[in-house]
Amino acid sequence: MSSVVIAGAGQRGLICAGELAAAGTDVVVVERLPHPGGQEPERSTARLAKAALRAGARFVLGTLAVQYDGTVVDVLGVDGAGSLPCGALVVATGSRPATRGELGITGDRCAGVVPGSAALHLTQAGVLLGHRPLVAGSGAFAAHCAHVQLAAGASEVTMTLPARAAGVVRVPTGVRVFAGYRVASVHGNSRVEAAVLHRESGPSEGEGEPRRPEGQSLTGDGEPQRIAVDALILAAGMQPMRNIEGAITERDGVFFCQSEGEDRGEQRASTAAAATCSLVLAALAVGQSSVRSAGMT
Amino acid sequence: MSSQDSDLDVLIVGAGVVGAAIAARLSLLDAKVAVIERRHDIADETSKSNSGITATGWTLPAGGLEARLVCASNPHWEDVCRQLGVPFRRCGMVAIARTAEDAERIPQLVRNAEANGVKVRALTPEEVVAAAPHATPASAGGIEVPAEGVIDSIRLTIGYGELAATNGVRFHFGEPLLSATAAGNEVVTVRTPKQVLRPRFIINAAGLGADTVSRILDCEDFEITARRGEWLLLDREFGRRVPRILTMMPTERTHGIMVIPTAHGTCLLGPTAEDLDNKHDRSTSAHVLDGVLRECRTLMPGIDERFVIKTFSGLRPHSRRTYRIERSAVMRNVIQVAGIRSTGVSGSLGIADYVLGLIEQAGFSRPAKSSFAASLGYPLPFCDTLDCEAAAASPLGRTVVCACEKVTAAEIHRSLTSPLPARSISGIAKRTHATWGRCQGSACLSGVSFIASLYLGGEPWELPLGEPGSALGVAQARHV
Repeated sequence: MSSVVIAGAGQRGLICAGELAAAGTDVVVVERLPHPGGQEPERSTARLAKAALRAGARFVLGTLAVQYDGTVVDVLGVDGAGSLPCGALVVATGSRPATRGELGITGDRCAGVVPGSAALHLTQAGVLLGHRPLVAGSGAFAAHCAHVQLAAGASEVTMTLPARAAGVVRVPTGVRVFAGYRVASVHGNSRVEAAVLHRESGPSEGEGEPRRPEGQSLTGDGEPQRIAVDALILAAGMQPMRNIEGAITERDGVFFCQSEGEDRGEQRASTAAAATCSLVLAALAVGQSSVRSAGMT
Repeated sequence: MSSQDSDLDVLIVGAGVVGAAIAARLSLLDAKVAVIERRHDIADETSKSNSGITATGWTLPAGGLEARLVCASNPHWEDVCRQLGVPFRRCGMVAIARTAEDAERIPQLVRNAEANGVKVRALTPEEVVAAAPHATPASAGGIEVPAEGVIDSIRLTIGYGELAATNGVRFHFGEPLLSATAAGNEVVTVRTPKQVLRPRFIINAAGLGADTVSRILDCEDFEITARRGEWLLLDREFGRRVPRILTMMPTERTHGIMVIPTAHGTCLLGPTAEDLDNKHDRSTSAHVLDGVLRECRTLMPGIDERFVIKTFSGLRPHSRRTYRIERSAVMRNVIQVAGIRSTGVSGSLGIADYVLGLIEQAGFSRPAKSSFAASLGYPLPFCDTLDCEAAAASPLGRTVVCACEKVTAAEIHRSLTSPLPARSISGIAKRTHATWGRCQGSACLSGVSFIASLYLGGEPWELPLGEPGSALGVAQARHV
């Protein structure tokens, strides 16, 4: 039976590993970090990892899946280099906030523009990124980033949110929200000094007035706004993290199991992982039958 | 500092690609050479954000100094890049005639290229697509230039500098030229914020600042302005579809917008050419970048903007006179190397040899060092080879810190301990590409910062992104 390589031992990777191993597939989980759980370990990690182990999945930790050529995955890690035979590659390498380029934020390339995921780690390590940071947001991840900045000692935290998210996302008390705005550009010499916000365009435009989040102050009158900020934390438009060469975009034998947008949580992860597993098992079954028929002729 | 320390044979002002190439050339001689650079790192202005093209000189005015020095440099890239561990590909270029008027200029451009000794071939529209399958099928013809190439110009500049430093050239960063004293028609001393130097010869390779340096030295009065080019960088996944450089038919004024495969397999779109009234505005704007995409699609349909990793701009020096490389008529121990507009990388080897000739004519005469390093022995970046076995040979090589650009801890370690070590996060990125990939540091910026603060000292929040004042944070965070 063909092997399945799962890149990433976060929630989705672990669920896939457990299910595919339980279905009798040879499963190897390759995780970049020295422990399962992904970048943000969740309470469920230990349970899911144990289940995968019991079902027979093997783990290669502290190791990066470097590239996939359709038959093997080259890996590099603490135990050295290796090539894993791979009939199907499940990419479960998590998600990240959209980059400045993806968000179309122009202006100066000054210091103080930090991806939200890096911002969380840096703040935990004692780096206050700004006294008056701006969080470019699209949902719950941005609200979490804003909360952490306030807790870390920022004096004024501002956030942009799409109109459709404004009434849904629970914004921490004390955070100034520009709902229905996006960050258009940042400006500054050495570090960020100001940001220009534009009314968001695209599908959410024309949905009427943004809903006022209860108990929150809501700023902005629809006109472009120039505000003084000293950091920009990019926490909008979550994107799948893709870094295995040869498995960046769709191709045969590659199965992406990554959250899109703000859909997080174990329930969503389980549903997505189940869908991925059935695709993988179907593909392996087809592969096997073609091998068998090739052998008979 | 003793007076002996401050006595120099040659002082080079500017650690861009031109200054560094000259430093590398002079470092092979038995001479005391130093470089002063106002920024905190080598390759930190024009040399860090350019096209990365190693031009053949096929469009340059035939017989001019620029054409001569670019043509003299071009055959040597394979050897130099092997010696300095610099990614390089001689990928070739196809210039595309988008209109019948463009096509009418093909014979004249071919003649110009031939006058410069550059092999080119005129193409019919069918041949354009055969030579560059990614090019538009709707061209009116084109010109193929097989010897054009792409290089990692930052690593080239750092490679020149590290070779020079290995051979004893001293680099002083964060030290602008402040003032100078002269006796008769010779500069005697120059002052930086930290020291006074007494050079026998001074080479003005200050790029965008060459006019200022010339004025401080009381030499010729000329003006350098900044021309801004905006760029888009696309993912390797898209870069695979771009085997060769595509360009418009060049005019006298500009090469126009290009689609460029980089030495690392990504793809660059740009540059624009906008003359500024200052020398620092590196901002980008949405409508300009939209224009770049639109123009590039006339060369290559199917450019997919979903693959854009980042947008940025670079400033290049612009001046009425190009390639002002000569002994100053005012101060006879000053060599001007100014107005190197867009072919600084392409001409750097030839410029270095030419400048050595100029100071020799001015009376400088030194034998070769009895022993010197001719190469750095650096391997190519792991990202370019993906040779896991080779990376795993060292313990630090087994940890990939930046997963997008496949930068190992060994490479980051080397960037912080090499002869001209990184002193900032951007310094690490320039040497390794860490934080410069698809996720733009969302996964590795914190890790890279922690490693950097171990080597550079100071509080983590004080770590500079680049120049002083560009710290990562503003204060110590409360525990969260």
